Amino acid sequence: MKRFLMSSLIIAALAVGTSAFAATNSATLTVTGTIDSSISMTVESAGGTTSGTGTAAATSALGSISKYGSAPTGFTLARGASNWTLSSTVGVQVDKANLTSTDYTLEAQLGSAPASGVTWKLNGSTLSDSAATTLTSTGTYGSTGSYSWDIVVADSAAAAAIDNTINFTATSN
Amino acid sequence: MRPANAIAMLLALTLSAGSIALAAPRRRAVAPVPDDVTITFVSRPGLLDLGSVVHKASETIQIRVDRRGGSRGSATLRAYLVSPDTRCSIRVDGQLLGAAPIVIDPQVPIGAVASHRINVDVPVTAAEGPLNTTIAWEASTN
Repeated sequence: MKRFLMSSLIIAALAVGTSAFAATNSATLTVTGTIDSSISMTVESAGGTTSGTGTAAATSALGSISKYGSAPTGFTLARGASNWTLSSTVGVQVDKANLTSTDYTLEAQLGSAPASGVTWKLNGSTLSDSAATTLTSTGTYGSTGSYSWDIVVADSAAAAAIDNTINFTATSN
Repeated sequence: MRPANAIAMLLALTLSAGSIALAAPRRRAVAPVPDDVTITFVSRPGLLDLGSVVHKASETIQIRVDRRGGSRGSATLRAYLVSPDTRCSIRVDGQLLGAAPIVIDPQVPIGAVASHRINVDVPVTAAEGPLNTTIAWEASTN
């Protein structure tokens, strides 16, 4: 009896189930574009009181500097016969995306002419505001490259601000 | 089993079967044809060109589901990738698309325009070059 009732209920359920029709249709949306390769550069570290590290626009404040004073944070001070040198390092990282290049060239150039009697050096090379200086032509993506940074001040230089900007340019090889 | 019960059960079965026999042709007659429901890309004519894609891209599209005769109600909207580009992943309203349809909206009002956000993510390891993939959208009336 129970089995018979169950059969009847199943049959009834099937009858109800077939009555629910859903209208269905489809359409397609084609998505196109071009994946472009790209690189990004960040200043990871620098001497002085820095801000903006980890970005592409870092600032390093040295405060008041003098031959016979103390070295700024993150710098060493070396006194010469006719000049003195503040030394530190700058860390620069270049990352790549969607690019088959295995290394990059990194150049640096001053944003403005250095104050008279002041020389800016990176990796031992003197920087200028008129031409870029190559720091490396085999930079490794994804790791921070450390470059020595020297500011040489002649004893004859006038007491004045030495503010400047080092512009880095990375180019994939 | 008592004879009275057996007769009642037979009668119930007969009536049930009878209703199927009578109802089935009538239901077949009203079964909708596929184009009873249509999907219209309101903002784009079925093509979404992202242009230059660096890491990621996102666009909003507008879709309207209509039903022939202008009847109202709601539909379930699903989406999936017909021809995936293995160099990128595509999300619709935050949901990752694959080869199997997923429900984007279970209650799309028929006749209303709805916006959907499409996000394309490109891993840094993906090769550069043209990107081409097709999203299939499927609407079923509820």
